[in-house]
Amino acid sequence: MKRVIHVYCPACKTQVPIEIDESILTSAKNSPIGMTGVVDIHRDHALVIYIDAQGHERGSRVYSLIAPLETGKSFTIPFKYMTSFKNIKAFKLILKDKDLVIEGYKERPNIMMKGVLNKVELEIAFSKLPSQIYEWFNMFLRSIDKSRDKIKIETLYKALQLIDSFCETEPSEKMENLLTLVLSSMKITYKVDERARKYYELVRPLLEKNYPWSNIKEIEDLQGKPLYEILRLKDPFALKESIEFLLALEKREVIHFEEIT
Amino acid sequence: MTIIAGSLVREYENLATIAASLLPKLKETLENLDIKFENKDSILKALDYVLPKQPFVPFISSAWESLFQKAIQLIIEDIPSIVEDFSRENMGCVRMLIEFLLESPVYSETMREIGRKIKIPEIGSILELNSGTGRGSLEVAKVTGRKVIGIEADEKNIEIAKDYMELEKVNNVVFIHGDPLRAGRYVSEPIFAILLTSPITWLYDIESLVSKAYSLLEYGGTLYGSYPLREKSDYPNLIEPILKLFGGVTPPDKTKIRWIIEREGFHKVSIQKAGPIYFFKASKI
Repeated sequence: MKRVIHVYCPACKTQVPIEIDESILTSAKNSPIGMTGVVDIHRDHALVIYIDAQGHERGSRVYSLIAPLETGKSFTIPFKYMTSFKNIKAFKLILKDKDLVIEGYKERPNIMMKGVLNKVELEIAFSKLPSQIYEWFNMFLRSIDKSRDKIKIETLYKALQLIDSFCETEPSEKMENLLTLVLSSMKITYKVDERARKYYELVRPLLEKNYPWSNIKEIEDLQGKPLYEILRLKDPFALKESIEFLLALEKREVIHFEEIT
Repeated sequence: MTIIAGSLVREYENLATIAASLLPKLKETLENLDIKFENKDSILKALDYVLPKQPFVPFISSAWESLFQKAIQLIIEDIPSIVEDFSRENMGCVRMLIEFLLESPVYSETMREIGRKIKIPEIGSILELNSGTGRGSLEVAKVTGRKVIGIEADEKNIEIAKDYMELEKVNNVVFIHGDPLRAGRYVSEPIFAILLTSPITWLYDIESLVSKAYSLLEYGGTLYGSYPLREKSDYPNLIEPILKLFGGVTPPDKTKIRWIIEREGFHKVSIQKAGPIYFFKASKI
């Protein structure tokens, strides 16, 4: 049975409605600390409301989007965010070395695809199982493993959106890089190389033709900021193009990625 | 025997005029440059031969030609970094200059025209050495419908080429990162045509490339190439000073290249001038 609680967000200074459903209660019940964090993503921060197995609020906390995730916690993506998925019914990610569980359920599936790589355990339930889905799943698992120190709930959600939107097509070779970059996007920034920027003018018409919704001006304006700033408001199709454009610039050495320390 | 059409020859001649108009600026910049590098003296010497008698403003007839003019200006401004950083295996941001040239309408059309002329046997593939960002291989693959293997020493050029291949949904090209002079390591199938046509080839010793091509080509196969040859052995090619900034070697003249190709074992050698570039074709029979 679903119910709605209202929680005050100190950053937005407003009451936020949070829907508590069976999947949240089950997650809290299964968590070693008897609680799960329900994540509500706001503009530049995330409100995490801790819910116990009875559905009671046990406190809340505002996270800056670039702050590290607390270890030893379980987080649940609320149902309202999961409804936009058309192919993904549920997922559960366990980062064992961080003792961290992030999960989300659009519905409680009977069967989930499971993969384990190093310290990463990933389960996803897809509504359909076309042949390429296994390749997508493996790519996703590898990209999570590569970026596991940089993953945030928001970036995981963005990567899931990408997979949900494109998993009916064959994944290209570069998709793993693309997913890794999305997952790390809050801990990665870039700089524009001034010398290369001059050479870029020669190929600019070619790149603008191939990536019609992207432009160098936006890239220049946001240099030094987390990559996530470019991706934040984009739908999966625009997001994919943005990352492909950034990778195209990186291959031409117009930009250089750097880790945010 | 013509290798490319007269209309394309005229386009190469136009580009030569644009490049020639900027050579006085190149000389002035080099003379005022404090740094010393290996080819500096030979470039200045070559410039003395090829400088136009009078400064002139070239006729620019398209947006691409205007960008070509900017590309030459950019090279002149960037000489200190080019001579210090550029290497064949890691081109850095100069990679975009190569991409710009390979993606030009004139180069794409040249490659389509060569592709249409290749005689296609029942089996075998086409090999391009120095495939750069891939345009030559892609166009020839589209025109012939046969598998094309592009071998390129700069790894990021290969990545860019693969992006174009994916964007254009071309599935009969294989791009391989490796040394073109050791191409035998990467090729295990019969090759019936070899392309040495990209501007990257102009940075290599043509004798080594022709020799490599002969060893890889099947009997009955054809070699297509381009190179900025000298008209006479003591008279530099117009673009020789620019190529030497990137480590290019002194090219042979027309007579010498014919001798090199025939000595290797090729027959039916044709050479055609197109501005400062010479296209050549030869058969292994």
